[in-house]
Amino acid sequence: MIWDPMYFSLALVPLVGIGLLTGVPVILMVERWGSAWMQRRRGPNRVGPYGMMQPLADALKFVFKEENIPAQAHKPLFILAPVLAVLPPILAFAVIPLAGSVHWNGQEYPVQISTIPVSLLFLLAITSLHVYSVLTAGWSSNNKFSLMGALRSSSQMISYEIAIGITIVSLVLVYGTLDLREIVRLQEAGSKLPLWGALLQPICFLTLWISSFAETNRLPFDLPEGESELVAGYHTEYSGLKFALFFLGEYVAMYAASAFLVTLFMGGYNVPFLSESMLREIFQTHFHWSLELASIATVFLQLVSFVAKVFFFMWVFVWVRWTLPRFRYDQLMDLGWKLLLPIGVLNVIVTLLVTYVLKRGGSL
Amino acid sequence: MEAPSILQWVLVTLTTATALVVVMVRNPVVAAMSLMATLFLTGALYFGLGSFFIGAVQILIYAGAISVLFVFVVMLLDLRPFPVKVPGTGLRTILAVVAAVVTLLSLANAILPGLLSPSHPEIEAAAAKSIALRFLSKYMFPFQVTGLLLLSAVVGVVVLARPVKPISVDRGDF
Amino acid sequence: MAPVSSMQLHLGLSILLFSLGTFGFLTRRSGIVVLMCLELMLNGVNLALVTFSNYHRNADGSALVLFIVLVAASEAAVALSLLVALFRRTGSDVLEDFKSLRG
Repeated sequence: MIWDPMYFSLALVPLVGIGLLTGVPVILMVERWGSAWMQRRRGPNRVGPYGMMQPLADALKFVFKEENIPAQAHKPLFILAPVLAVLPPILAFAVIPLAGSVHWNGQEYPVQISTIPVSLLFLLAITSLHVYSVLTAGWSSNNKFSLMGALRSSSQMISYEIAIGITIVSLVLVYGTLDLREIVRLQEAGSKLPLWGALLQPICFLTLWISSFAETNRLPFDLPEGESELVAGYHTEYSGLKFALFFLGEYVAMYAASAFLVTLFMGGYNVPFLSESMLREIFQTHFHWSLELASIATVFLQLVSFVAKVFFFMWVFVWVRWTLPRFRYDQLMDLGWKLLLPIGVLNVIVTLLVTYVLKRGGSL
Repeated sequence: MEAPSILQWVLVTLTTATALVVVMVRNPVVAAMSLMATLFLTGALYFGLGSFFIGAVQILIYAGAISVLFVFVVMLLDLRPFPVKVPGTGLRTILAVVAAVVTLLSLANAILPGLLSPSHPEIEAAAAKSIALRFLSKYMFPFQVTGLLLLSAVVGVVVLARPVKPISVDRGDF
Repeated sequence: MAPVSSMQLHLGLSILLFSLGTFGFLTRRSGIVVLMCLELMLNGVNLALVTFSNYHRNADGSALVLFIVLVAASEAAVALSLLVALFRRTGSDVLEDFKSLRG
């Protein structure tokens, strides 16, 4: 019988959630072991074999720690802030295309929770909501350091959002659509050279990559939560499970930023050199599988490719964190406003000219 | 007549609730956060109506930028909750209630009766492409004027937000 | 209660938002909250425009909504910076305290 694609999307929701929740311990371990390797020391090796139970130990610690709410804090907003930190990154995964389509009984089920035609804009909108967690956390803690950290962090995030917004325009010019699924499909190449976004719009790629560090408050842009300057910035007063939620939110935001970069610039879920139809054909002719089974196998391979690319970006996040020193706040803002924004505008102008010339067949 | 789905009823109720919070609550920070919630929920309503582009723009600009501005200003100025219950019960409040009710009734009379059946949610006419075509043909002049307006707003804000000089000498600028 | 259509529900909400915004605009003492109520009113109008644009399948309504959003953004920015400047000079954001121009 033919199911409505909506049910497939609904079934994807818990799967994506579970995937994210299992991904966070993985990135925790990668960070711990990666930083240990880069700093020539041993990583966690007490809890379980190769420290594999370390994330579990961390989670248990957060659960059992005493939850301390400052006396003069604004309780409702204090409790709301960690929730606001976790929701937008998870919501961002609602529009990321994770794989191609599953064909079942003549109906196509795209492996994407929400297939709205403006998914790129929706993603930008959701990232701009991340600012609220920082502001509410800093203000409701009734602590001058927290408030300062919150104002710094939120103005940093907003400044880099502007750079992202401007450079995205040139990307949309090149691809001609706001739909993430369509953008991924346009990066499919088959046996030719993959037309990845990084090749078509290198400046946009670099700008977005740098801005994603600023958006997730990761080094070298983590002055707002710099341990040596502001205690812990906007989450100074948070302990126990609430702090764990902030932590979780930061790692899921890293995943969301990586997924965003992969989808726009590294071909999304496409397996390099193998388009979706080619893969399905291989499975159908060589293994003599049915269309349904072939599509499932294709989707599986595409998921593996997607996860591998996302992990590349996550590794770079970890690598940069333990390599580069922190930016000073005014240097940070200068970079966002005086370098990335003008470069973004120039990029748009150049892309406009080039696209116009190419559309007219090489003549002005 | 297409009946609204349960989701639309829920969204409308939530939007009304958050709008009431904005108008009634004493603490400006709570009011600002509630405004964010109202704007976000209105964006969700736009999604339900089939205008995905406008909904995304609403969340991006209204809930993600304008509302952040409000929260920023409230936190920067460190505004405290009002000691007196506001809105109070004076003559002003009564007049305001009368004005609001009159507005409500007159709009309801103008818009609600005599309606034909609503449409199916359709995204064709509300897609980014058709809006953009309108911008570049029919509404070209307002489009350019809005650009100028935004530029002047940015410049004006930067001028207005400059720190006040401690020695007030009337230099004739500002 | 008579069965309500989807369009009536949305238009009813837009009317409600506008009226609530009017009430808050006329009543609240803090300048910033007054501006918030102004945004509520604008949102009510936007909702009505989007509903009608959907009904008539005409993109003019949506274009107008975009204009309203843009103008509201710049107006909110300028008004808020005005309030901040006023607050810095007088230390108060209550609108009734700014009565130096009263006769």
